[in-house]
Amino acid sequence: MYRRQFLKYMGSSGLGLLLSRQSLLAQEAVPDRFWISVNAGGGWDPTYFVDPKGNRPRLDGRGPVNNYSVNAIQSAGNIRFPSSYPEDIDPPDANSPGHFANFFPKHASRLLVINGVDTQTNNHDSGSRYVWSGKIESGYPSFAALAAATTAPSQPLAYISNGGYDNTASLVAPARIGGGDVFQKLAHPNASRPTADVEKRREYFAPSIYAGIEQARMARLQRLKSGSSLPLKRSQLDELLMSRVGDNNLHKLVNLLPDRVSSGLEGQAEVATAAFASGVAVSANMHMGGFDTHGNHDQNHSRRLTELLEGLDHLWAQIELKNLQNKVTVVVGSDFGRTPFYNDNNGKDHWNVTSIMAMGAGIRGNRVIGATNDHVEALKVNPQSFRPDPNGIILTPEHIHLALRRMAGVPVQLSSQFGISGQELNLFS
Amino acid sequence: MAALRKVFSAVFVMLLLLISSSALAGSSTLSNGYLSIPRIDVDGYGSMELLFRLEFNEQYLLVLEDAVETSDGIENSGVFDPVQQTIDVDRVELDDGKIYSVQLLLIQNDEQIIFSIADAIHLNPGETPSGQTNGYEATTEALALYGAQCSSCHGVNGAGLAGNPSLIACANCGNESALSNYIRDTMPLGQSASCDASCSDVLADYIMGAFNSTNQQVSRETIGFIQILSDGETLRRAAQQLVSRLPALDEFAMVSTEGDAGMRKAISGMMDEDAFHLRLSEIFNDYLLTDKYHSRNGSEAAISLLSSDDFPNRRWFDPGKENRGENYNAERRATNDGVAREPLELISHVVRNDLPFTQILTADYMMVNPLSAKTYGVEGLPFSSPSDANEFLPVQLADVPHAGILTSPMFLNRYPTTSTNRNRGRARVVFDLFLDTDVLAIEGVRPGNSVDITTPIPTINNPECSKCHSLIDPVASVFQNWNHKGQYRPARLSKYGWYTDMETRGFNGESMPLAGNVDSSVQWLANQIASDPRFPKAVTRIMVNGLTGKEPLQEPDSATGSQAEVGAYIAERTQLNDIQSRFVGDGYRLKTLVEEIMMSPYWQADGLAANANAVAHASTGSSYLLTPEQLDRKIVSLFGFEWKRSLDNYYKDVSNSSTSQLNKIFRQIYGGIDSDSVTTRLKSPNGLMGAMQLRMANELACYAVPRDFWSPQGERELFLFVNHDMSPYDDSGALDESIMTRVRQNIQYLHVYLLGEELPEEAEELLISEQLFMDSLNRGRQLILASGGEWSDIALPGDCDVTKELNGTLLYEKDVRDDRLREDRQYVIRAWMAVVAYLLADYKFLYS
Repeated sequence: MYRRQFLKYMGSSGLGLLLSRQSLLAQEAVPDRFWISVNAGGGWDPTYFVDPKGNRPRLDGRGPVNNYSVNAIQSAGNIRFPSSYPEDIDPPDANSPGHFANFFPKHASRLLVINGVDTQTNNHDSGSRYVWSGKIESGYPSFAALAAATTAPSQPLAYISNGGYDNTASLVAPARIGGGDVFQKLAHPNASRPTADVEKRREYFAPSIYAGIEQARMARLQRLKSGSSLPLKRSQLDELLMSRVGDNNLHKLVNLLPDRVSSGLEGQAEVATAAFASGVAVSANMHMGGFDTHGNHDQNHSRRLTELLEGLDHLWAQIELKNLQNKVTVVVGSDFGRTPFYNDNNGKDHWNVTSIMAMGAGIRGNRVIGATNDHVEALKVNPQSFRPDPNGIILTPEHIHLALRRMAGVPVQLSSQFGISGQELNLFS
Repeated sequence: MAALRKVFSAVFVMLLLLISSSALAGSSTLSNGYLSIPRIDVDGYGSMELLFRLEFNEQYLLVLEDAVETSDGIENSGVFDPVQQTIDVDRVELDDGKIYSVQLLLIQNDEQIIFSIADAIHLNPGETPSGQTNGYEATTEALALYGAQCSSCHGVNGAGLAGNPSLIACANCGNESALSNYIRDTMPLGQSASCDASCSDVLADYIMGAFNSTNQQVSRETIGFIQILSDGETLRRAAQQLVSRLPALDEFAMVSTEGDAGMRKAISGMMDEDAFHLRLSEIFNDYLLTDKYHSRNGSEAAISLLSSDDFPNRRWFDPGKENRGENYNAERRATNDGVAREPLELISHVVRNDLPFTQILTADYMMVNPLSAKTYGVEGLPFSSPSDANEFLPVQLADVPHAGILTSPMFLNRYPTTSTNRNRGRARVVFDLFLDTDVLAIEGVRPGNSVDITTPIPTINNPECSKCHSLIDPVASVFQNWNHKGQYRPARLSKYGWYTDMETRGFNGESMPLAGNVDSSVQWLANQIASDPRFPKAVTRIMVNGLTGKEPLQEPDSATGSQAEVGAYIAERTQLNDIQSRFVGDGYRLKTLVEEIMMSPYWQADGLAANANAVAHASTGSSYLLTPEQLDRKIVSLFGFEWKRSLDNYYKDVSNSSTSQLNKIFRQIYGGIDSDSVTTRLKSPNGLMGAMQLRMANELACYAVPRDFWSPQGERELFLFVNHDMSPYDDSGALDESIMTRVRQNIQYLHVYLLGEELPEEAEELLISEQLFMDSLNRGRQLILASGGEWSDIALPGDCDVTKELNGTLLYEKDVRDDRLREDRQYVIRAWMAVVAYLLADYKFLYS
């Protein structure tokens, strides 16, 4: 029963840290299942796209829920969406992949929409926390962090975060990457312009000279280690040497990036999928803000949603390009929803009921589950069919996360450390 | 040997090995990669001693190296199972004193005889000094009292039971009288009345005699193996850690002439500098995490936490969208940071003014700068300037019972509460940060595994729950006058009052006296904590982490900890207890604590004596990977500029924080925190961090070397002995020894300046650096020769050349002047760049 401790001792008793590290690494499988959380920061309005209500006036006199025509609501498969936009705004380019009329017909077959999710809050912090961790209390890791900790906790890039709720509860070290440039810089430390085309790339040192510097650096670290009698210093030098050995995966990742990494969500998608395909990452947070449209809602929200859907379209293209469509699960969500009526500034304020979208591996698409009434209040649904049922349950982020954790195979020990109470539902398949 | 190997191999094949299982077990040893088994009896061949070599090939393997005859006088060491083909080795002693019983499984029996390790069982757990009385004879009364009052939590041998602290080298065990007082006032928890002064005297005597009489001896012996840094190295490390600069000449002189007293004086002087207070804030923020609300994380991240009902002037800087002036954003951020950094500034204020550190909790005031003062509606404070955001003064808000950090809106918001949590989260943090007590380590069943829905008030009536809740709920109740937003709202004035199904206000088993405390209960708690001996221990833990990169050793598990591990813990804890005593004795002066830590052999450790036990010193020393903030400041102190982009563009970047590589782009990649969702620093470099170190070294060498050569001699940092046109080769191609002498001098200087490495002229390390210089130079000259002097080979890389002054002034005007440095025809500059790039990627540059 103490075999592990005994082996641990042997790994550090003069046999070299290298051996124990190799054995540790050997235990960590190369990831082959990946997860992406896409966060629409600020609180999106599901009624604008996946839970459409249209411009029918509310009976209580507070105006319509939306300003686009009820007649514009169409279906692609089972996914309902407005095919046109309110008349008084600049609509997106008709050819944009983020235009509703393009996005939903193209992706409906793989898309799952969960409507009527009650976040029980209209506070940005707690909403974001609840939607992405499954707990409204603070201190719980995001699902993406849990997934990374499940598969490859010691990979330096296991969890790539571009912002949003990315608490890790110290389970994994999050890699917050600003853009693709960072990888180029790190993969080519001797290149003064690492993002330039190869023929235009300048180097600080001629290759033969740099090889000499590198050799001298490693030899120096070895000498310092041999000359030190302090165990702490020796182990630090071991760690430093290991970090310098050279990470082939980093080069692999860089080789899988486009020549020019895009900006915004599209760039985030390119980095995340390259990191998956090169085997260095398990999960990624993609993030864009701007959904907190307290003023001029229709115009501002339309622009944000177009950008979001363009990003998702690009993400899926990247996933297919790297042949990962059976390995990547994408979940899209936001802090909460927006009011089913307009304020005095033609804006919409915070509303606790929201929607979640999912696509990719493990997701049975072409489905809409959960529901809201005309005033966008969450309806109780049957826990099997997910159709409205007065004896059913209100869907909450807990249900989403219990199902996600099961799909990701989060071990019981880890899951109970960050326990979520609630009924396990077969939401995704 | 070959014959014996053959015999032994045959023995296994023929299953002829017979072991007398009734014989007393002898000890085998595993040391330096070899397992030695003193005796196994082989029927027909006599007794044999076996020697195995340890190998790793996907798993640990033991390869038979030698088998020699041995005498019957040596005890048997194990049992061979001919059916299972296993050897059970009764006792294997490891270097660190641990003893295992190990089962080996034969997996190969041909040219080599190889065993794998099938199982290992730890033997004789907890054979520690804790189990010994070391000659101390306990009285019957002491044994009875200890058994009745203490052993159910601390264990019969004082080693502690799960979740309860050990009494060996405990925080109060430095002084018997203080220990007695502590027992009298607080023990047993919640029943302190059951042990009066005479009882506590007896128990203190017993605890000191039975469990702690050898602490000082163990500590002395353990510390005796430590070799410490030279005075110069100690001073450099102190300056780097405390104020991110090199020591000044007068500091060197002080140490040189006054020894330890001079070192203390130098350290004390550093703690008067602003740079120290910046570092102090970082050290404490790593625990408090209130920088979550710094403007880096949102321009009004802190201000937005304040209610406009309480502070109608909170956004005083905003005259309305149409009327905003050019200072709007700067004032907004400075105001926000004044609010956000209030708890850290309180710490700074207490330390700067040599106030008792307990005031970080007991202060009946808060800190404001001229801008945040306006937010809080405070007027008339004697600021030296109305716009200096770095000047903080104490202030009392009307009708607010301040209790230092505990009532800071930032602290209360950073650790918020809900109607179900009822301030328990806050209580947990208070125990953790200010009492060094992890309440989550206390045994008991928690929601997630089981929820008790049958007991009326589980937190009080269910023993599984009350184990923990009886400790934290009274403290949680103390916070009842502060709501979830950190606003002061006395519970007695609210419609429903405080919860009645919860423990009432108290601490350490003592109920809070209501008289005078009802609306100011956190002040009462602050005073309780301030007089608790765990408070200095908690502060010491934070400072040790800040100054050594790691927290003090945790007490080893009493079941599995080896003697060496227990000894290491006792030695370090005893040292820290002494240090804490001096901290408390000097009126809780934090600077004294810093001084004492830095003067301790643990902090100054540089090496170990040859015969030292490595396990007992596994974490001895104070070097750690510099944080991104510290590395950034170190670069500024050595080069005079931050690591941003090329220096030709520095004038554009100088005030643009987004171009800072270590504070922005690589901050989190290099292990930094944002105090929000990323709250734990990475302390070991991973592959990304290793790559960043190389890029940093290469870029800085490129920026700094040509710029330094371009600068006039008197303004240089790096090249005091050479110029960029000083090639070691003369016109005829021969080595110019006079230049080489200068090259060697400069290399020697660079080792000191960049690494703090003082080496004699003939040191091998200097020769190696010189060789790198010459190799780079020669290779470069060959490249130039081979290309026939192509401009691309002569010119410095684009980002490295010097075409502008740091302020952006062009160094070239057609037909007027050309003061640029772009060419390197002799390859001298780039050879020096190679040496600097080599040194900047070094352990001694990257670690404290």
